[in-house]
Amino acid sequence: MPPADKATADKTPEGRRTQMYKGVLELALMRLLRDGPQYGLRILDQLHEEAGLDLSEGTLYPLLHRLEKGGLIQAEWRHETGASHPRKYYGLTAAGTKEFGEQSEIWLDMTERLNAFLRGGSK
Amino acid sequence: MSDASIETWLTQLETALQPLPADERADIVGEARTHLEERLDAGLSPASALAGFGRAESYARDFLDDHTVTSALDSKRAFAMVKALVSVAGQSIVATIGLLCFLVFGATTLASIACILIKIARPQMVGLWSGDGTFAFGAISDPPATPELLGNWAYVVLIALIIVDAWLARFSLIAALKGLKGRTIT
Repeated sequence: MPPADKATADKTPEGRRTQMYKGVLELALMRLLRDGPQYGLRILDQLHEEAGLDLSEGTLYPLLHRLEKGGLIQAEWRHETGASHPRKYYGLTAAGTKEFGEQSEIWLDMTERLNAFLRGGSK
Repeated sequence: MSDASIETWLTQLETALQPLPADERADIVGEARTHLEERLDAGLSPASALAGFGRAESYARDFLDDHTVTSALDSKRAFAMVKALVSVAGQSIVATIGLLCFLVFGATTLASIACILIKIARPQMVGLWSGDGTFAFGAISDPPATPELLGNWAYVVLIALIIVDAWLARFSLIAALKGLKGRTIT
């Protein structure tokens, strides 16, 4: 699976899937942070393992930066015992939690209708 | 644990991020360093660890674009806002539309100012003419034969147009920048 930011105009199923990823990264990221603060490398791995989103560092960190600037997430550096480096943890703010609720509601409604339509079950 | 190629990449990133405030720059570089060092500690090669970030200049671009938009909005200065939109217009339809609206409303603002100046110098050339299948408003070197309808009220109409168009021009810039803020530009 190619990294999400390497999307090109290729018409392969993987290329198309990559294009679609771009629109859901923000939503998936907020969903992940709803469970608690995480740092970049762990976010990257969890999005891959749990959501199947194979995005790259070059996509993730600018996205985190934008969401932080937009007040949807907040960050703090933590020096954890046992860790060789200080890590920057990101957590969802109250505004981010509200935004996630609204975005996920729209997404779920939209995909439910679209799934039914694509499967040809809706008239 | 570090590596020469990673140090070079981090130096390039720091250089590319020069327009950002020092604390923000240090934060971005520090986070990238932590990430890369953890990847190396986990056994990845420097080349593999760097691959996800891409070229330092490209990686920095996203942060810089966001900073340009935010700074322009915060400055509240029309010139800074136009400059920011011009810098991303090629990559964003929102920026292009914002700039086009600004140009249209800006041009009508300037045209209204010009009409007022002409009206002061040559009152007969500026006004509103309607009748006999003719409709004209503004400054005309050869006014129609039909009577001019506004007289000195033309000043009031033109001043109102200047205010409304100038506001719309500014609104176009702010709306476009707010539309870009927090969004991927590319």
